[in-house]
Amino acid sequence: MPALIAALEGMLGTWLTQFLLGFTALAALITLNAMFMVWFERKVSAWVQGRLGPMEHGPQGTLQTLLDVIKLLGKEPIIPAKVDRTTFILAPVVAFLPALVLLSLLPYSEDLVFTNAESGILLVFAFGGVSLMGVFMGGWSSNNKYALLGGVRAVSQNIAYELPLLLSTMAVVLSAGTLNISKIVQVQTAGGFGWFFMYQPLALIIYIIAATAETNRAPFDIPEAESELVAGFHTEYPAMGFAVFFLAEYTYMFVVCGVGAALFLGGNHGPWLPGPCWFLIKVYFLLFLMVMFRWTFPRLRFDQLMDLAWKLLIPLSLANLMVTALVIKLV
Amino acid sequence: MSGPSRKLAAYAEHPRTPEFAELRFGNLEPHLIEAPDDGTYYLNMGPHHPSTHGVLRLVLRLDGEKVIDCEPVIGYSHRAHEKMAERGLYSQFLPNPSRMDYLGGMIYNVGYCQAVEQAFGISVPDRARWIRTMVSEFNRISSHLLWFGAFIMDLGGFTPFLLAFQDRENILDLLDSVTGSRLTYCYANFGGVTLDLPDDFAGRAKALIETQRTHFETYKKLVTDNTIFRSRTDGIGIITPEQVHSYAMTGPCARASGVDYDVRRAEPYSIYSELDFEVPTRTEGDCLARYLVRFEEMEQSLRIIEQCLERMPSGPIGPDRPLIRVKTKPGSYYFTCESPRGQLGWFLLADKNPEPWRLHARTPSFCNLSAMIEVLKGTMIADTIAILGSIDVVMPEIDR
Amino acid sequence: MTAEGIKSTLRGLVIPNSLLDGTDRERRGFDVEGEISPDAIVAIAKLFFGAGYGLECITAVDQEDFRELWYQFNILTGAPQRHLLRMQLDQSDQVPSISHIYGSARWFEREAFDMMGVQVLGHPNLKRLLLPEDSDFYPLRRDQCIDEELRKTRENRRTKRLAAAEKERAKADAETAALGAAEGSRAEATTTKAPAPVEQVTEASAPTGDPQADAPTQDAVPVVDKGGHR
Repeated sequence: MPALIAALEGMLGTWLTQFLLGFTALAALITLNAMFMVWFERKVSAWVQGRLGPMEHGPQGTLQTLLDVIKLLGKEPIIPAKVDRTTFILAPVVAFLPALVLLSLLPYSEDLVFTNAESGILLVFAFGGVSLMGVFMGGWSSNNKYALLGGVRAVSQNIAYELPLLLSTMAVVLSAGTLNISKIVQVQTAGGFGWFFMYQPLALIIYIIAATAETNRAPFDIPEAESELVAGFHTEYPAMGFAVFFLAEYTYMFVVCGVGAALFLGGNHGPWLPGPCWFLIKVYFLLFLMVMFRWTFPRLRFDQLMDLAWKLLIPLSLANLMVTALVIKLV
Repeated sequence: MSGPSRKLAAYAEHPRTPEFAELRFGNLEPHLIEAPDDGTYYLNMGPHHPSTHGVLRLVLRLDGEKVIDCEPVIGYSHRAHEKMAERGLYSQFLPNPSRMDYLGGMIYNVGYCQAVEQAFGISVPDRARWIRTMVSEFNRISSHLLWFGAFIMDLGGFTPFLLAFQDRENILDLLDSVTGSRLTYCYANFGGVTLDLPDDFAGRAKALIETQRTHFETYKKLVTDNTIFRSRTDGIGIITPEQVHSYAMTGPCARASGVDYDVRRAEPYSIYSELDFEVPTRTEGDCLARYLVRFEEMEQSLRIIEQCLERMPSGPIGPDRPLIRVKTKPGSYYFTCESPRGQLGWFLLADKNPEPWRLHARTPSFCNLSAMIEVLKGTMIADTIAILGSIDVVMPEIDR
Repeated sequence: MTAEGIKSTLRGLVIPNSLLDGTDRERRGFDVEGEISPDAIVAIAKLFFGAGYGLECITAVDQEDFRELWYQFNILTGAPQRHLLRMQLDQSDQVPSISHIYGSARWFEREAFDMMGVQVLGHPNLKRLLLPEDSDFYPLRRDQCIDEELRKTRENRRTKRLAAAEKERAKADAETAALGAAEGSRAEATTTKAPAPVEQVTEASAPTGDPQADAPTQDAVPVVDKGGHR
């Protein structure tokens, strides 16, 4: 393997080689994560509901998702007659592409960071906001009232929940004194300081709620609320268009849980196992929580969702931020 | 021409395209047909929609997410049951009633038999009456359980749906062992029932009642006490007693609004006058009240079943030979019974001939759904779904 | 309003002498039965609405020569009192709407129009309810949507019934004539109340006809005839 990398470097130059390797690794991560998550979600929901879940293909139905992907690839990508074609085709791409950048910002271990940006947290939110454009483009261009309603709901929901998400992370950023995600992890691992969820429990709770809403997961899945809006913004998307939206959803879940793990749960820090393992364990623990939310709660109504954000989460996270600032100033 | 635009051209040239364009809002209130120019728009919800419970179509006029006006369009599963009744013997109509309301099939089946028996003075042995009541109450529970699951699914919670289905499955298994069918029963016939209870029935039924009670506790923890569920249903879709009165609403919807009417108690038929049960009533009239009333009803049904099991008399279960040609007495008759959704009435007009002159089913959801239009105005789309779910409509019963 | 009060008010609104206590309540299911003309239904609906009754059901019935609407009012609280009012429509099949009084009438009347072709005057939205909006038939009419065999059976039965009724009528006419001029004034009164001959024939033979109505006594022909349909 090192010999191969050396040969590649000789041919393409160091930067391009690293880029290609990183890109390949992240693309593999996205695909594997989505496939695992689909299976995981099915299994967890089956466990909650007293069923078996997929059992047919592979041990415990592990190959089910792979076959689903093959089925989706084989489907005809229908583009309905009166859609805005360019926007309609671009929408899933716009929704999905930022995910790649976001994944590269996560600290998988001390030395496995694809982009060690100084303003890492800000980049996460900046690129996370772009994907919203894709969702709205999909809803807008579909020429379908359900899709339009879903798109409109997604925009107002994401704008509302970006604030508590940002404010709750800012409390951690203030405590750590840096915007660099890797450095925030290092602060937690250095010298018995402890993970941030011990100092910022309220911020962690707000973060999890806001992250669930930000990724449009139940009980906050009103943009695609299937019992109201059929399928929301992706009502008109068949085959791979739908699959890409799906892929984007699971990737964003991974990202927000990754950021949460890094900020609150000490990232790759942990005994015995190597760093990336700990990181993944923490990420999937958070993902498990999100999956459990989905299979336990009914869905909030649109105005209740807004109330929750503007009247509860934002004041709470602001107060939390101010208390944190005060404590840091005084100590 | 490239692929997609060729398809587009084919669409435009399709002989039925102009026809489809005409069919958009054919069957609506006059004021709905004019295109609004005040920023409102129409949303055509159904007949193919996950939450319209079969084939109901709601044409909503919306301002943003707020419902300004609503017009239900029904009839997509009209199968002319009343016409079918007129062209055959009374007994030939026996399989039909359970197809009208596939969730309360047993109650419809038994109800039709009782209507004919009451009209023409056919006597039913004691044991058959007790068996009928018991299976009807099992059927009521299974219907309410399905409603419970579907209602929570309308609110976005998926898990209770499958849990309720598992419970319902147990009841269907039990009824299957008695009747031989699982959904559309043709169990009762004139003068009795077709099959006797299997030997192990009492034990299985008692075990089922026990597990069902513990499962109700689970549902209470999982759903009834859930804050999100409460906020989605409390105070939503309030039906006033005046609306109940005007629209002749019956069943749990009426009882949740404080109208204390249950056919089983108001006009006791079969053996209900001998049984000890309560009719749960609430006064709030909102979705939560309808939910709680139905839950309470399921528990009362369990009580009724227990009494039936305890006091089940022995003896014959019906006539030796199935009664195929009923000896009719000319006249008009009306028989009502309590279906899971309200008052089910059979209006029967008989002449001397062996087939009914006219058979009209007064189905509860028909009235309940027509009242919904008033409730929906001013609510949001999500509430529309919640209210529709809480009213518990079964479309084939409305369309008949 | 008490049940007796309702009844006494009703007596003024229904066709004279047609209001009867429902016989055989257990079997038939009605407390009071009466016959009304289409003009009276609005006043009756208002009376019942004011007294706290609900409109339980409207059933449209095709009697082959004319159509009928059967209104059922029931009280939802306390002891059940179900009142059945039967309305015979003339050949135009027109009836005033009561949907402005009872919300439930809105769909019941639409259903009657849809299935039986009853023209409800003043209904805000008299359109097809269950059938597609472009349907051009009324399926629950006796002569619609049936196969040849059934049509023939029904024709035969009808011919027989008409013949029997004709015989009855001739016999009754003869007896009436034999009674002479002394009963003339009463006979006159009955003829004003009596419906058109065609209808009378079918009524005597209608499926609802009480067996006794097939052998009516001479002076009370129309009254017993009409009141006897249950």
